Amino acid sequence: MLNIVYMDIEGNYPRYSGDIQAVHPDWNVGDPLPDRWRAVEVDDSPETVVTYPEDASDENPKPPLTYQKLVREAPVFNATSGVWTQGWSVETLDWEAPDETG
Amino acid sequence: MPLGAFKVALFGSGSGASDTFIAEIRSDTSDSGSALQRNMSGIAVDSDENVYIAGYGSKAAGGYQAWFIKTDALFSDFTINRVSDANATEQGNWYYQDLFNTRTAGSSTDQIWWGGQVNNVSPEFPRWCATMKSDLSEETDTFGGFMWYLNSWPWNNSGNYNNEPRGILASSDSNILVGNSRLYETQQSYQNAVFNTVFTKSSSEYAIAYAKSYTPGWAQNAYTAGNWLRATGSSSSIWEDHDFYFGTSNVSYQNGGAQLFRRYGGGHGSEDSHCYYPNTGTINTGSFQLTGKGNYLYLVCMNNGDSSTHLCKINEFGTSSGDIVWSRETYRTGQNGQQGYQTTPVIDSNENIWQTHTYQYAEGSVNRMGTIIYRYNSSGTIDRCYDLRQATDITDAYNYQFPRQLALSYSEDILYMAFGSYADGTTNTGAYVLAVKTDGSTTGTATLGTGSGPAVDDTTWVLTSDTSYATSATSDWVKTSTSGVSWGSIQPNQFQSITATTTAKTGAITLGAF
Repeated sequence: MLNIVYMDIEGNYPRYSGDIQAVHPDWNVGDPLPDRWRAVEVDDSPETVVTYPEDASDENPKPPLTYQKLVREAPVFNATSGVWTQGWSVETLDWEAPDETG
Repeated sequence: MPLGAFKVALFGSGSGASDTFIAEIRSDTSDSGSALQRNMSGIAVDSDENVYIAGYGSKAAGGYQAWFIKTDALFSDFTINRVSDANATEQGNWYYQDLFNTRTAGSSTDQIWWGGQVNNVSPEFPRWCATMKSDLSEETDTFGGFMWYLNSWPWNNSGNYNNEPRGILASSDSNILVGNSRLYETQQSYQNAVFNTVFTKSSSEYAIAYAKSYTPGWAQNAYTAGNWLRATGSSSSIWEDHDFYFGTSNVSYQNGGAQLFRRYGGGHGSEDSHCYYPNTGTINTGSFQLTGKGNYLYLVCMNNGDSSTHLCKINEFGTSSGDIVWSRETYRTGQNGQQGYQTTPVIDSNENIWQTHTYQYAEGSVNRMGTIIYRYNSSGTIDRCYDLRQATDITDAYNYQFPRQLALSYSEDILYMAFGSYADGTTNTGAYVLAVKTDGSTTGTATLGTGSGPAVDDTTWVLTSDTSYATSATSDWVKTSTSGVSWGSIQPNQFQSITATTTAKTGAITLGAF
């Protein structure tokens, strides 16, 4: 399903349906957007991957080598389609054992 | 007055002051060991405004003594009788986590549910849960309950971190229960995994009916992000009447976000999931707490990576695909560091959301800890904020506070907070209950103790009410598809139930100011 978020009249992004309703209480999802608000279609995020040493196995478990983070790209306007879209980039990071929670 | 028979220290004075208090709870029974380690576990209120409080403290014989209070009656020294195992009548170390109140549909009787963990019942590593009868007036009253554990290699250890396990959630008709566990294994992959388990009622017994796991992989750690049962409005069948939401997080996938999984529909149903995270810095040791009410989920993220606390309001998955409604990031104005601890929010009948978290602030040359309790209205605007600090006569910086659970009175005019604290400038831990008015009017100073009783007791608490104490801003939360994550179906027969009864007897307890 299409993932829609919003940009407010000052260009702040992202904003959500409740943020619009806070300014325009009568507005509901599906209604025409209030003046100067913009809808942005968010691309599906790419899968993130964790890599392990080649010789890791159930008999020889080893910590990962790398993991990945998603980075939200700035929304862009496609003049042809008239649609704002937002994509993702992927950043690969060396594995450092994350701190234990708790 | 809640906690009627006990002495408490009051905040403020004048009309209504008796409703707003702070109380210190001492489980100083004859079986107690050190009086210096008292742990608060949870709080709940029933429809008659009885207040239930649970916690545990150290015992002279070792281990812990669990205790349970219903307004002015104490029940302690729980004994677990594992009736399915004739060789075992063991009292382990009980670790509570959260109390929940539910009222069975069509009944006038409330039920208080709790969940937690039992140690010292080797070789199993069970979680237990129990239902308590509302009338706890008899000395030998029986608490019904059951235990369960994962009976599947290679899981050989248990975690007891944060919200894991987080109590047991019961549907309003008590036909469905859901709980979670977090297990660690050193036999194969050295990983921490999360297991969510659903129990259905058959006659008067509960049996495991459905389970879902998340196993993160070699040397990785998954964490529970909470559970929620959402009433769908159907009355067709056990499986159609409620959607089950399970949460888990793993810092290695999708920016450490919380993967929320829903099981819905008839039979064992259909499944869908989404991932959510606050997109501010790296989520390091992020801790997520899921809850919900009506058509909305509420997901809290405490991120120790940048000392931030976030709240996201999310549409239920069925009709609006789990889209974000609004999201906020909240600080204590002037805080200078780690926030540390928070609770699962509570939501009132007007969709106001109460939340709390601790924070660090500088006072002179030392850093100290405080707690703010704040309320978002349904639009995401903060309209209440209480600030709780210890008086400056405790000059040691060692004054961590540990909020455990919030609870609203049935009439929603009082908010309770169960919490622990290093209250005397050392690591001696006291157990406390705070009650404030939900209209924001409670303020004042309350002093507990005279110095003559067992530590911890010399504590003066200062409570102020000012919405400017909470700095709130729109938070960049991301909703993405769940990817890179494998949810596993755990067959019910991989779990084993232990039929158990729990008994409790009354005991002495000290509560209040003297």
